[in-house]
Amino acid sequence: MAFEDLPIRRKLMTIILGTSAVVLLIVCSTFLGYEFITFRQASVQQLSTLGEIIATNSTAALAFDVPDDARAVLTALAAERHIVAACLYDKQGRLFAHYPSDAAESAFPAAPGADGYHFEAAHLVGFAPVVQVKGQRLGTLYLRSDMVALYDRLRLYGGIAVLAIAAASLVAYTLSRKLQQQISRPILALAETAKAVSIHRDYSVRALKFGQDELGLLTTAFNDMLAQIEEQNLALRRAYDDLRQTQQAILEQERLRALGQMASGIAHDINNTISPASLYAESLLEREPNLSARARAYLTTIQRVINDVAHTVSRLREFYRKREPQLTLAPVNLNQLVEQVTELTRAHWADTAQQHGVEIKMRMELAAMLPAVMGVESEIRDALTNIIFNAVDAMPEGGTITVRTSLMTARDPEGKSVPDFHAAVEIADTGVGMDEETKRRCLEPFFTTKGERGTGLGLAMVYGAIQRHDAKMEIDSAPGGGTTMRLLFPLPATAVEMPVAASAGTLVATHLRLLVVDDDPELLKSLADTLGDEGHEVMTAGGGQAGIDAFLAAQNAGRPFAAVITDLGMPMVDGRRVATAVKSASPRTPVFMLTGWGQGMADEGQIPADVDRMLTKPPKLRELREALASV
Amino acid sequence: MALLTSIWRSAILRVARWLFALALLHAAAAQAAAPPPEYQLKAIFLFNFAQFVEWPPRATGGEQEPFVIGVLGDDPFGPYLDETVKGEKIGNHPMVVRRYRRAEEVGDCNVLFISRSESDRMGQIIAAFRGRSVLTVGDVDDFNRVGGIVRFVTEQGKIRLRIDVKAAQAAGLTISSKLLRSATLVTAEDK
Repeated sequence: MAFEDLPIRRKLMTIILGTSAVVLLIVCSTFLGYEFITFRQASVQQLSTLGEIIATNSTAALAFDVPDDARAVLTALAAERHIVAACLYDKQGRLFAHYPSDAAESAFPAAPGADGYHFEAAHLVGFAPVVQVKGQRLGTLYLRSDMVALYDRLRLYGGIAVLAIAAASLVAYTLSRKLQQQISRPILALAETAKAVSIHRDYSVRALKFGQDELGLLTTAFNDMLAQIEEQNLALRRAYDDLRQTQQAILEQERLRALGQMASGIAHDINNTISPASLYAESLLEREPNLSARARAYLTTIQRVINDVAHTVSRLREFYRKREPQLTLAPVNLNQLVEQVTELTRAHWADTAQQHGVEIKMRMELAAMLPAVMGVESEIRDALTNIIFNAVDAMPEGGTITVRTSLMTARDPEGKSVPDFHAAVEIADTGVGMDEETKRRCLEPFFTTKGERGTGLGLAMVYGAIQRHDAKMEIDSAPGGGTTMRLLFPLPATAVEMPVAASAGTLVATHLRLLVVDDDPELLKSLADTLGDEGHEVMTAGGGQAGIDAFLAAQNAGRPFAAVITDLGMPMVDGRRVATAVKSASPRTPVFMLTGWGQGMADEGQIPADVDRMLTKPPKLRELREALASV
Repeated sequence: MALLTSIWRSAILRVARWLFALALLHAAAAQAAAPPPEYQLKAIFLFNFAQFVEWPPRATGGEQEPFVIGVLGDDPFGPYLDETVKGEKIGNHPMVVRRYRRAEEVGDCNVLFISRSESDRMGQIIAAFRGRSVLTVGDVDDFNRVGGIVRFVTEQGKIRLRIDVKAAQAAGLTISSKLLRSATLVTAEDK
């Protein structure tokens, strides 16, 4: 494995051990080298001293030619075991005496060399002058010393050095195992963290910091980087979720708009269709006092059924009604609204449940003297309806729905009560309840626990409506413990008066000459019939253009109409153009417009310029009378 | 290289020296009757005594005073002694050889060789030098007995020294122990 690929722990160990080994080797080599040189110098010194002694003692032997004496002097060298050979030459350079005495003469140099000592192979050899008096040389001494002492000593020192290096390496190894952690540990921790991050994509992990050195700074920087990535990741995710939700909401709006267009067409057609029935039934009930009790009962039923149909159709309107940013707030009596909603949804919670063989009870606990709140009745009604539907769905085994109104304080996010009072509507079921996850997400659009049956829009719409009302929504729920939904509406600064419903008195208007324009012949005939019964003189026109022509003809003939009642949606020439034509010919002639969209348009301030009053289909005789009374 | 050169140089010198010595020998032989060869060695010994004996300061005289080797009686050395001493110095003292016919002639003298020719009067001569710092040397048999300090003895073809330490001390001379070690010391019984 190349050194670059070694794990950092081994790399550090190798560096520490290698460095200390090299340092020790250099130190030991230097020491040995120094020893070698100084020992050689010392050897030369020693040998020359010895030589001087021998030479001094050999002077007389050489001067007076006594080889025995010289031999005796040389024999003294036996005391120094490293001297392996020695000899004396006389003045003429002849071999005079030698040591050891039994050695062959050929073992010595034939003639003396230059004075001085030098190393020769494994020996230190040299020549020294033999002088008694300065200037009078008597002969030459030759000495040869082996270097065994040097090599013995070098061997000893070498052994010591090897032992020292081994011991030092062992200590260095033990120490470095401990010390290298100072560096390797933070790096390994970083590496581990980086690995964990890259494998699990978990940016919440943090590397452990060991100190304030560069590695510590690195760890801090790395952790900060992780924190940034985590933060940005979160921000990205949030932005992505927002975007996704917005896209879903737009898609859903588009779907709702298409649905709304369809619903508005159906509502229009149904309202047109049931209008004659409504008019005739009302007319008969009011105009025929001699009706049999049975006929009266049948007619009453027909009237109620038609009202129910009209009511049902009016709820379709909520689908296509555009939500205007500025709401037209009106005083709303929550108690009344709650009663209406429980009635409206009765089919759902009572009948449907019964079909499934379970029983759902509805309990009402309404606070007396509950002040009115400012709101849009239809939105609140829808919200309550939605909540009751959810409550029913949460109780597949049956149970009790408790609807409660009260004055209460809201809880702030920490769960403490805040002092201002709210009008509360509470709908509690005894159903399956929600776990934390569901509770947290239940307000998200398209979040549903009902599978294919749910759109995931119910509570989202409720939440939207609540927000538009500056109201609060509280959810108490636990799995198996039922769910309580609480809507808290702010109380207006001053108490508001509920408008008194207009009295439905039988207003007998003067006999008027009326022009009724509608493309639906059945509706046209029923209007002509009933208004005729009221005592009016009624002319009819089956289309917009026919209506305008009839009005202008009557005008020219000097018999103008007192009022014009026109349908809005007609082919070719619609109600708006009829109204415009009427007003341009006779500005003071009132124009009443009948429409399947009437109520919605009135609410939203869409009354066309030349129309005096909008009337919804199916038309009510009472409303018609009221309108005509103002003529 | 230096070693080699020095070896060569010494070899050349040695050969040259030998050639020179041979030439001198031939010259001497041509001049007179050749002296016995033992006297060549004895001449060297006489010269060497200068290195192993200490004279009292007044004996050697002041600076530049010569170191005198004297020969009393017939000179047996031929040219040897002159050759040996020629140009040599002991310390600052140049060495000279002086020859005397009679003891009375001997003046300042350090080493005095008393020739065999003076055998009959040996005792008188030596007695005459008693109290003077003169190293008396001779090769007659009873030289030590009559009070001579150093006697040359020929044993098995080798020249040996017999030294009377007491006589030397009486003459105020100090003889190096090294010289004494390679010599035979004269005891009272020997006399």
